[in-house]
Order: sequence, then structure tokens, then C-alpha cells
Amino acid sequence: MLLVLAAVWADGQLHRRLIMDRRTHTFGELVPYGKALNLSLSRRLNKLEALHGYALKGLSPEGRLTDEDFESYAATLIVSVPGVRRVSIAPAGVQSFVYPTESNLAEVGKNLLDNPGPEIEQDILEAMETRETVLSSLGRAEEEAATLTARRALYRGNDFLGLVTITFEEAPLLRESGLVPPPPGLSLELRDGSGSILYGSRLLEAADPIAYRIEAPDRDWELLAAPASGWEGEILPFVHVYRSIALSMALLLSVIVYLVSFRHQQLGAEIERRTRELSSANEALLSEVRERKEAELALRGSEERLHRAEAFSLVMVAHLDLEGRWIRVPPTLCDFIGYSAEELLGHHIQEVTHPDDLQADLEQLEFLKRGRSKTSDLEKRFIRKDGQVVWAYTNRSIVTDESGKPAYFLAYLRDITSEEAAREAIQESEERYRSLVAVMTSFVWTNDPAGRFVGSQDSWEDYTGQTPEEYAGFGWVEMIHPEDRQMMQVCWEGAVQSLKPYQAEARLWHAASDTYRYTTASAVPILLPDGSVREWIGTVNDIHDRKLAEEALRESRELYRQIVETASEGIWLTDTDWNLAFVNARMGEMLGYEVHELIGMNVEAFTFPADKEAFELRKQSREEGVSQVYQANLRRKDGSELCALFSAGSLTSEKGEFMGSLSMVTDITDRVRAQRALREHERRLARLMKNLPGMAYRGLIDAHWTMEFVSDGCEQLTGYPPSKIIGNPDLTYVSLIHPDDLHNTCSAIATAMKNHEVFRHVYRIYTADGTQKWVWEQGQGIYSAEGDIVALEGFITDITEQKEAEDEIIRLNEELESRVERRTGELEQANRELESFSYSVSHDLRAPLRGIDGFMRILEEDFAADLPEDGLRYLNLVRKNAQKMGQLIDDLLNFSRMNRQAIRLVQVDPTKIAREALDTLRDESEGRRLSISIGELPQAKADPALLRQVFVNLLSNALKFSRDREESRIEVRSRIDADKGIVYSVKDNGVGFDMRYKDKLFGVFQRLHRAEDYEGTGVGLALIQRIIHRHGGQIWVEAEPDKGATFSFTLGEVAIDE
Amino acid sequence: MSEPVQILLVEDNPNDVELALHAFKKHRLSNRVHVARDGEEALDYLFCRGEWAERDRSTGPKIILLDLKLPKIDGIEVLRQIKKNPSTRSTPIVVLTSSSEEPDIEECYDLGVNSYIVKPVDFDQFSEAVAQLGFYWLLLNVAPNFKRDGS
Repeated sequence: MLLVLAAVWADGQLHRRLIMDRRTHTFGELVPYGKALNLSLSRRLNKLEALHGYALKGLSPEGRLTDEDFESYAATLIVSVPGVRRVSIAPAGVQSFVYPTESNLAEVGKNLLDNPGPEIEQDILEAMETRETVLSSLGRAEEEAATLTARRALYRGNDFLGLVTITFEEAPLLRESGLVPPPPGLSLELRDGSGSILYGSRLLEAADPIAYRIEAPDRDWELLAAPASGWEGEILPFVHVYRSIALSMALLLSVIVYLVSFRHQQLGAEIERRTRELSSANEALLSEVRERKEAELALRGSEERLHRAEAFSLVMVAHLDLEGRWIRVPPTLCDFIGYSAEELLGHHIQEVTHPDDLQADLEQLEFLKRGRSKTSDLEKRFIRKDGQVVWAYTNRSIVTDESGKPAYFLAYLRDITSEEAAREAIQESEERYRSLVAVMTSFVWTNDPAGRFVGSQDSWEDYTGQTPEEYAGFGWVEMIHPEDRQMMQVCWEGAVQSLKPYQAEARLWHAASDTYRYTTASAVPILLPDGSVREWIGTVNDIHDRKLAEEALRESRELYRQIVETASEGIWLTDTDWNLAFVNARMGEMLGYEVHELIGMNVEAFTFPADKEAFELRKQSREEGVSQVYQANLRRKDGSELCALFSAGSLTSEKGEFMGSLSMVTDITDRVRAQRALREHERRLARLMKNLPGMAYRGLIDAHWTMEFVSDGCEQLTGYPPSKIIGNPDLTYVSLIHPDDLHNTCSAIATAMKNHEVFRHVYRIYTADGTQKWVWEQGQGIYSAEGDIVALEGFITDITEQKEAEDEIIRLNEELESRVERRTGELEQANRELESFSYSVSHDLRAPLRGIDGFMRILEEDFAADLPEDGLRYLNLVRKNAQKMGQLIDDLLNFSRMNRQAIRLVQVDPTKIAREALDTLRDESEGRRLSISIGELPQAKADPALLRQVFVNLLSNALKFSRDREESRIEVRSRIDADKGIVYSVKDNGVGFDMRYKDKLFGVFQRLHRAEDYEGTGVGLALIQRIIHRHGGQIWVEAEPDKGATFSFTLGEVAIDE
Repeated sequence: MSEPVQILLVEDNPNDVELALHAFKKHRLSNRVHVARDGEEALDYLFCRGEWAERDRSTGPKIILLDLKLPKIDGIEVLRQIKKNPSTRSTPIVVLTSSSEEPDIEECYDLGVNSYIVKPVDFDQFSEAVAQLGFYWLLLNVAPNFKRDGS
């Protein structure tokens, strides 16, 4: 009996466990219905939102709509939602706009604020008060299909404008959610927020149903479910199997015991021992069987769980004690929350619950504990050990011990993090498409066996706009695009003959959009028992948008493929390890590899060691998701350098993980090379410009001659930095030009530009500090290919110093000239005085001398006889002195005349002149031994009379100072001197003189010999020197006492005139 | 009745007059010399004016020796007057100068003077020159209408 008891206890345990598993399973079954219902309801409520927006925008304070076509708006609004009864806008509560009007005539003009009935009034007040959507299932009549009404108040600021209302049927909502027809095996109940049953049979509390929350605007609904056969019914087959096995075992054991005691009592201890052994073996067997069964059940349970896990993501089962502390945590849960089992066990659930969900969580546990509800479910957030927030759906129930007292909480958890995200996404996309759609995606029609439309085809009518008369028979063919009709006909005829379903794609007229739209039509024959066709049932699916989208997608893919393949940029894509996952042909070409060689190569292979650091930094940026445009050098296959411009971005997963990098690469090698060359050139040019002692410029041909460029020399030249002048129409270079020079300068430039000439101009400018500078400018116009002037380029330099020096020279010259003039005047005056003096001397001094001489002569001639010897001698001396004085006066006059007399240069023959001079000296040479040689003297330019005088004087001197020689030797020669040119010389063998006195030689009245030895006035050589100097020549002498003297002279090329 | 004057000597310097007369005398020309001591006197004599109003113009002179530097009317002016007057124009004139430097020589030639003599300090030379002149002009009696043109 103990065995039986044990079996009964185990049975109880098993029972509880099976029910728990069953509940989890059932919840899983309920979720899709709940979600679908949520979606369908929100679609309808979104229509109200749209209507609200429409009314708010279009409703005037007077209660009119700016959009006059309310009907077509409303028709469009509800076309995708089946079962909408009524759409209305009620300015100030009066339903002025109602659609469709025909079926709602009673509603038109109804004032919702004026006693609409207690239930409606309550809704309306709530809507006005909360300014939120109020959903109500009230006001439905028993005889009609159940409806729901959603209302929202219109406010502009705080001004109440009216109400918008949508009333829709419940049935389509339930159909869409899959709740009609009811899912097999489940009893369902849909309750609204107030507890009213919207659908299904009332499930008693005793049925212990599972609940799913449906989001409704004001109060959430509940979708409750329980197995149709009750929880017990579900697990009965398992329990029965268990029970029959356990009972059979117990029965078998009893039979054995009975047989043994009856037949072999004598065997006593033996049998007893055997019995004990058997009994224990049987016990072991029983326990083994039980364990196996349990294991089997457990296995089946876990199989189911596995199955569910696969179907509905992961379900985790955990136990909490009544205080909310973990007492069992499966490894899956540990993974989910990120804590180890050791870390969780014994700790309170609230430690890992998101603070926002904590209160609801604790409340639910408390409710369960107090028995206020059997199970509760909650979508709540956990905070993982790593701080990440995860969403879980939890369903909890309380497990009681045998006495019915609460023992612990059983919690099912499911990771819905991604569902939560999906839901958000769905909501988002729903909103996006909400206002878009005016197209029914599919509809159903029926044909007779021959393909004729019989009876009314509402959907067809709606879609194509054909009236029943029009589409009757084969009238419907008219709605198919002419190009598709034949194909359609062939297809259709084939189907009619073969009695096989068909499907075809054709363009069908769509009245609402006034175009043909792509559709697929499929039809199946409904066969009568005799095999003949009763009718065809077909559907038409509007695939227009999908088709266009597919086409656009295909085109866009093709476009992208072409772009990538034909791009002049290289494109590469790396994986997370920076190996190339894709490269286009151009990229291969740029790197010098075949495309297939590149795939799988690490991008580091293209990096030069010097760029390693930058490369790593960029890798880091990519991995952080930062996009960059940069320039880098890549190593080509042949080791050469590729300068490239990269536009690189990261590829990331939805979760933001780095998936790889995508780069667009432009080959700028040539550009970079050209830039380098250009920079080098510019650098040289800049250095050159910088060193220019002035300013190079390029000026625009505009009203102000605005400078487009000036070199650094600008600052030194003008005192303004280049930045102040360049492109500044307020401070132009032209404005610096001295006003007096402006006109000349501009017209010089304009003339040069017109004639395409280089211009050079000197003018003044004012520098920044107001000082005046002289500048020299050279420039020329720059012309376009068409010959239009586009700019003026040139160079300006400071010539102030030169200019000042030049001015100084001019000034000095002028001063000098006036000084010369003055001096000349003085000289002329002196000359005049000298002339008159000379006259006086010649006339007045000579007269008394003539008297002395004359009377002495008379005395000598007439009275010689009366005078003693001495008297005669004195008389003679007096005469000689008088004559000498006369000679002196004459020589002096001669000399002074030489200074004034003009000289007349002609080609002369000095040889001849020398000979003539010698001839005039015949008197002096008479009676002497002479050796006079006159060599061949080259021709020269000279005044013949004056040159003769020179030779006369020199030869005369030579004869005079050599007269004491036995033989006078005189040579007249010429020679060519490297420095002096032609040198003429007269050499004698006379007494010579001491060279110490040579400077005195050419002075007037200077004599080196005593008058009693050699007569002379001392004017001769002075006269010669004067003549030679006036010819531009020189005269000099070499002599030695008693060794003779040589006088040499030259004749300058050009005589120096007065 | 005096004999016709052969030579008119216009000279203010008494030394020179005496020396000249000595030279003429030496060459037996002295009794036919009339001496005027300044320009005015020379012109009066030549044109028979003033003191010489009674003089018979036909009595000469046949030749005039004229010093340029004279008191009252200078030699150039005298020369100009002589050459201006038809009755005296053809009378040969020899200019006596102190030196060849005299600036008036050019002008003298322009005015039609026949010759000039630089008065040397050496009396012998002077005497010689005067003598030669006297002979030349008086004795050879060449037609007095000799005239230099310009140069």
C-alpha cells in the first residue's frame, strides 16, 4: 500500500508540473492573436489620428472645412480598413461632416453635446477633458453587428473646436486578428477596460485563464485564454498513462506476494529472503520505472520547451521565493541577465529590475501572493550586469504546497528585446504608410463556368468603377489593358478547358487612380460532384506598387552595379579584420593587381612603413564609426607609389557594431605630382618675388584697378601690407598715385594697353605714412585668347634716391652753368681790360722808347764827332736797352695775343713746316758749322702758323744754345709712343741745363742762362707751351748741363678751344 | 706862295714828329712836309677850314701819314672824313701805328687806307721805312686810286 501511496503522491507532483507547462504553452499560442489584435486596433485608431490632424488643419472657426472635398478624403482614409461605419467631424459638436452620408443620414447635423444619451455623453465629456482618444464599445444595438466608436476632441490651443469620430465594426477587427473563427482548442474572452466582454464566452475565474494585454487608448483591454477542455483535460492522457502503469505494478507485486506465501510457506527464511530481495528489486524496478517515466515526461516537457523556444524565442523558467528572491535560475536566464547563478541566487529580483518597471513588478507579485490573481504577466526591463537594458515578457503564477498555502513564485520569462524593437519599427512604418494608401490590395470575384460575370461583383465594381451592366457577361474584359487582353484570354480559355486553376499577371483599370495597375489574377474552379464546374472563384491582387518597387529596385541595383563597375574611382570594401572583401576593376587597375588577387589581402599590404601610424589612427576611426576624407599613399604591386584621395566610411550592423569599411579611392598621383611641381615653382617664384627690390603685381581691369596680387615688396614700397591692397576696392594702388601724376600715368597705361605694348612710366606715389616716393613702373596688359584685356601685370620699384640724385645733378649743373657764365663774364671783362692794357703798352710804352732810340741814333749820327769814345759807347748801350725793352714789349704782346687768338686746325705736313721754320732762321745759322737733320714727320692736325711758330722757337733755341759748339747738331724727329701717340722732338747738342730747373723753363720771363751769355726775353718757351696746350698736346724737355737738350711735344687730336 | 705840300704828317707825339722829320730830312723830303698835331687840325688843313681857310686846296698833300691815336678827333674819324670827301678820297694814306696789335687796323683797311707802318723802336728801321714810303708814293707817283676791297 505504501507503493500505491507513493504513486499517488508522485501523481500529484506530476499533475502540477504538467499544468504549468501547459500554461506556458497556451500563452505562447495566445501571443500572436494578441499582437495581431493590437495591430488591427491601432490601425483603426491611427485613422482617427489622421482625421484629427485633417480636421485641425482644415477646420475654420466658423465650422467650415477649407478642403471642400471631405467625402473623397474620408473615402481615401478608410479604404484600407474594412468595416468602418462612419467618419464624422463635428464642429462645435454638430456633426456637419459625415461619411458615408447615405448610410448615416440620421447622424448628419446631430449635436453630440446636446443630450446624446448618457453613455455617449460620458465618452464625450471624457474625450473633452482628457484631450485623448476615447474608445468605447458602448451604444451598440443588439440586432446590429457590434461596433466600436473612437472619439477625440479638437482643440486649437485651448479653444475647443469640435469632435472627430470614427465608428467601426468589431467583426472585421476580430477577423483580422484571427480570433474569428476561434482558434481550435482554446476558449477565448476579450474584455474591454471596463470589463465588458467584447468577444467570446465568459471565462470564469475558476478556469484560471491566461491574459494578454491589448493596448487601448484609455483603458487597456484583456485577451483571456484557457484550453477549451480546461487545464485538467489537457493533462489527463498523461496522468492516465502514469496511473495505469503504477497500478499495474502494484497489482503484480501483490499477486507475487500472494503466490509465494501460499505455495512455499515451508521455504521460510529462504523465501522470505527471496521475497525481500524481490521486493527490493521490485522497488528498485518501480522506482526505476517511475524515474524513467518522469525522465520521459521531463524529456517531453523539455522537448516542448525547446520547440517553443524555437517558435517563440527563448522561454526561461525561474523560481522566486515569496519575498521575491531567486531560488532557481536556469542558465539561459543567467545569459540573458548577464549574472551567474551564484550571483543571483538569494538576491532580490528588484536588484536587476529596471527602476521604471519596479513598482508594477512588486505590485504584481504582491497581488499573486495575496491570491488576488492567479497569474500575471508583464513586459518589463532588466538591467544586465554590463548595464545594457533588456526587455522580457514575464508570466508569473504562485505555486502552492499541498496545504494550498503559497510556496513560491513560478516565473516564465522570454526575451522580447528584439520584439520590442520590431514593434517600434512596425509602429513607425505603420505611421509612415498611414496616409499613403488608397488602394485595396486584393479582392475576390466569381465567374460562371464560361468565365462570365454573373450577378453583382462589388469588389470589381469598387476597383474598376464598372457598373454591373457594364461588367456583365464578358464586359469585364474591357477593364484589362488592351495589350494584356489577348494573353489574358488565352490564359483564361486554357483554364476553362483544362479546369485547372490559373494565375496571370495583367494590367487592370483602376478607377480611383484613373490608371491601369499591375495585378495578378488567380482563379480556381469550384467543381460539382459530377466534375463539372459550378463557378470560378478568383482573386485579384494589386501588385502595382510592389512591381514598380521591384522594378525600381532592379533598376537601382543595376545602376549601382554599373556605377561601381564603371566608376573612375576605385572602390574597396574590407571586413572587420581589414581584409579586402570587394574591390572594383578600377581599384585593381590603380593598385596594379588583378581583382581576384586583391580579395582577401590585408590593406596593410598597401601601406608604406612611414604611413603606418596614420594608417592605425584611421583604422581606429573607422572602427569607431567615424567617416573621413583624407589623402594617403598606397604601395602598388610594383612597389611604386599611388597618391590617392580616400573617402572612407564604416559599415555598421543594426546594433552599431563595426562590420567593415568602405572606401572610394581617387587616383591623384598626377595631380599631386603636378601640385608638387607647381608648389616648387611657386616657392621659387615667391622667393624671387620676395627678393625683388620693388613690387610685382597683377591688377584687374575694373573701375579701381583692384590688385589681384601684389608681391611682398608692396609693404616696403607703399607701406601697406599686401593683404591690405589685394582685392580691396577701398584702398587701391591707384589712390596712392600723386594727383599731379595720375592723369599722365593712367593715360600712359591706357595707351600701352590699347597698342598691346609694354609701358614704362615714372611718377610719384604717397606711401602709408604720407611720404612721397618716386617710382618706376613697367607693365603690360594680359590678354585673353580672344584678345580682350583681362589683367595688367608689371613691376614697380622705388627710384626716389636715383631721382633725387638726378635732380641734384641737374641742380648742380645749373648752378655750375651760372657759375661758369659768371666766370666767363668776369673773364671776358678781364680780357677786355687786358686788351686795352695791351694797347696802352704797345702804344704808350713804345712811344718813349722810340724817342730814346731815335734821338740816340740822331745823336750818334750827327754828333759822333763831338763825343768821346766812352760817350759813344754809353750812347750805344742806351740804344740797346731801349731796343731790348721794345722787344720785351713785343714778345709779351705776342704771348698775350696767343691766349686770345682762335686756332684753325687743318691737316698739315710738319716736315714741311719745320723746314720753312728753319729757313727763316738763316740769319742765325749763317757762318756756322751745322748738322741739321729733319726726319719724316707724320701728318697731323694743327694750326699751320702756330706750328711754324713752335718749330721756329725750338730751332732758334737749339741754334742759339749750341752756337759755342764746333758743330751744332740738331735733329728733328718723330716717334710713336704707346701712351701719348705721335711725339715730335727737337734735339740739340748745346749747353743744356740742370733738370732741377725744368719747371721754371716754360714760365714767362723765366731764364736759365745769363742774358750776357744767351740773349732772349724768356717768353719763347712759354709761348710754345701755350700753343701746344691749345692743341691739346703736351711738351716736355730732357736735358743735362753741357750735354744738350731734347724738347718733345705731342699734338692732341682735338684742340682745346677757349 | 708856298710850294705844294707833298706829305701831311698827322702826329701828336713831338718826339715822333721830330724823328719823322729827321728821317724825311735825311732823305731830303723835309721841306715838303706839313705837320698837323691833332685830328681837327689835320681835317682843317685838308679841307681848308679854320686856320687853313686861305690855303689852296690844289697844293696837296700828295700823301698822308696818319697816326691813329690823336687828341680831339682821332685817326679813324679823320680817315673816315678823308675817304668820305671826294676831293680827298683818292689821296693815299699810310697809317702809322704803335704796334700791329692795334684793334683799329682792320677798320682802317675797311675805310680804304693804302698801307700802314708799325712804328719800330729802332730809329734806323723807322727811318728806312719812312724813306721808302716817301719814295714810293711821292716819286713813283702812282695813281692814287688804289683801293683794297675788304680783306
